[in-house]
Amino acid sequence: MLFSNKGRKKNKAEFVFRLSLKYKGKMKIWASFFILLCCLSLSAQENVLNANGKYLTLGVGIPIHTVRDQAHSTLAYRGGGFRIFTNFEEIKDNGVFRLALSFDNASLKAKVKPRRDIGGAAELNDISFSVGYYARVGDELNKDNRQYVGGAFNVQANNRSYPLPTNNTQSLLFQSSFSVGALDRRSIDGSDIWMATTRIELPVITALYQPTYIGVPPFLHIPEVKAKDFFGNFKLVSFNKFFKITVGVDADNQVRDWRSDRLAYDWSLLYTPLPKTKPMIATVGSLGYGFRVLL
Amino acid sequence: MNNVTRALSFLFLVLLLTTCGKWIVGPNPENTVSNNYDYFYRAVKENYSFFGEKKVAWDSLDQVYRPLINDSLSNDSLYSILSTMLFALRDGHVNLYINNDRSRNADWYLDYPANFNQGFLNRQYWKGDYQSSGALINTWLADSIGYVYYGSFRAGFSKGHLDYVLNRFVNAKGLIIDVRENGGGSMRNVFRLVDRFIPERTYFGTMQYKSGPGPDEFSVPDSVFLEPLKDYQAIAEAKAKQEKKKSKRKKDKEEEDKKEEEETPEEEPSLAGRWAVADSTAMMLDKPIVVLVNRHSYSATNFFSAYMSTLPNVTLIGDQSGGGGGVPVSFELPNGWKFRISATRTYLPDGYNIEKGIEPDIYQTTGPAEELQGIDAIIEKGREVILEKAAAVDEK
Repeated sequence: MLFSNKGRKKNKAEFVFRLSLKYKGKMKIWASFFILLCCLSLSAQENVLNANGKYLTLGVGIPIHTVRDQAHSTLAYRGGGFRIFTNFEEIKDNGVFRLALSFDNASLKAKVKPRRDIGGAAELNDISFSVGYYARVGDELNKDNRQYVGGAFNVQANNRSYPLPTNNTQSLLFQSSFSVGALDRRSIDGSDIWMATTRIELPVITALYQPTYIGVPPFLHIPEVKAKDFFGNFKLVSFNKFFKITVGVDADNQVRDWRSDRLAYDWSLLYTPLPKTKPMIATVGSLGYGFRVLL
Repeated sequence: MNNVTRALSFLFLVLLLTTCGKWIVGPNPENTVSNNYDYFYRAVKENYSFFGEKKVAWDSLDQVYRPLINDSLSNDSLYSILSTMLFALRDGHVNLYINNDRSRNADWYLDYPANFNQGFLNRQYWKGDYQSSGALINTWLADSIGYVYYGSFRAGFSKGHLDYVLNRFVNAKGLIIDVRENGGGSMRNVFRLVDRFIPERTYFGTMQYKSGPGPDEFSVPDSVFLEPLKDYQAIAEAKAKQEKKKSKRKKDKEEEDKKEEEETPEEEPSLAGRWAVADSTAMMLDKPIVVLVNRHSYSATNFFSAYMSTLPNVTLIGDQSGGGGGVPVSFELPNGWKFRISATRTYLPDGYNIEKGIEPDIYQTTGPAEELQGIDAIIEKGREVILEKAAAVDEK
């Protein structure tokens, strides 16, 4: 035999020995980390998804917006973009405190038949903020199936930039509202791994920044706009002048004790007949992914 | 339900809700010739703000052109009809935009003499010696008169540029602001410029915008007030107090300085101001100011001329400004064509609607005959007015 296994084994042992000397300090760290990971994976013995605590979620999504704003165009604009969202939830025995913030950016186009290029796309930016509390209803001790009702305070700034020649290119919808809502949290299939949260919200009273009939905000042609002038353009309205329904479904999959993956789907429909004879109707559906950590 | 069924149900819900947005919002209006015409006719009728002032009967135009509309009409023919209808409004803020053209009616200035020749001005007045401070071309004219040419309110200038220009002419006998051939632009630039010529909060009239589809449905008039960039009077009072305090010290120092000057040789005159950097907020409140306008001074320039014309030390010279007192807003037809029309109206404090243009205080024309003599008669008239006013002030 030209090569003996004996020599090869000896060389291998020597190589491992030298390597262990070289990485003596670091190997300890790696080993500790590996053991820690193993422990983490072994410790999911109870459904912490439904346990009381404070949770923070960070995620991204793909929203599809459809808007027809007749103060700016007779055409419906539709398109997708990206969403960044974050939620803070504090789950207690008797209720859920929820704080949510999301930012959307999307590029929308109008389609004309027969199909032709009508030049340019509308850009949409939306910031939504919501803070609410939902009290638990019923006195069942079952942690895997809980229902809550409550309310939230919402602020939304939605701006669309239309590919129009002049002035009313920017459409601003600014609203802050008090909404009522219901929340359902339940484990899926009774498992300790999957948990679904379904949420529905409906604003009852809304302070709506009243759009002008011609779509040009007053501050475009008034030199000095003070806060008083700006807030003077808000109008308190209810369902008949501002209707928005939001449905959200979150599916949480527990990965670690302290972390779960979240598939989030939010859908909302918004309608306002203001300004007169130029209503706006919009829907947005967003599918997102995020991770949720126990603080 | 097993996990697969559950996942599929979730995906189905996602797809269903996302796609139903299209159904909820509804389909776009049918892109037919008659539908495009109807939308166009109604949008102009309900939103245009000057039918009364211009004495245009939109419904009569509709009666003329509607019979020509049928769904077999070509795009070119439709464009021609809609452009012709808009042409009747004789408004520079009214245009129909298609991919390869933009309809317009420019007769409001083409029907009149130009009263402006930039090439001539460049060679005869600006020469190579002018300075460009942002969009403000500025130079000295004979007899210590400052001259500023602003060619477009679209073009910006910074606070520093304006400070520089007004500081440069702080010792001038007066200032000529030439806005001839300035087709307008941003209203913010109008306000930023006018701010420098008012000593106190000043009322410049009202503005209304369409608030509904009816011909007389306009918003409650918004008052337009402009504030001076700095509280000139308060600063002047503060300075006067400081000067009183320092007066005693100055007297003592002056006596000492006189003794020193007698011993030191005289210095050459300073060129400060020639290339000086703006170091303070400049205002021009008391000097005679002349604004030069022609028929192509339109839109934002018309607002500027209108506001300046209300100030006591300002004289408008040239031809009537072109008008354009309405803020234009845009619309989109079902076929994707875009158009814009005036949808606001503006009144000066005396109730004058500036859509018609601003009449100058002194009508003056200029043209090739004056150019042969090497002068722009409108600028020369401006110089004459400033010298007269400056002399009157000196006499007092």
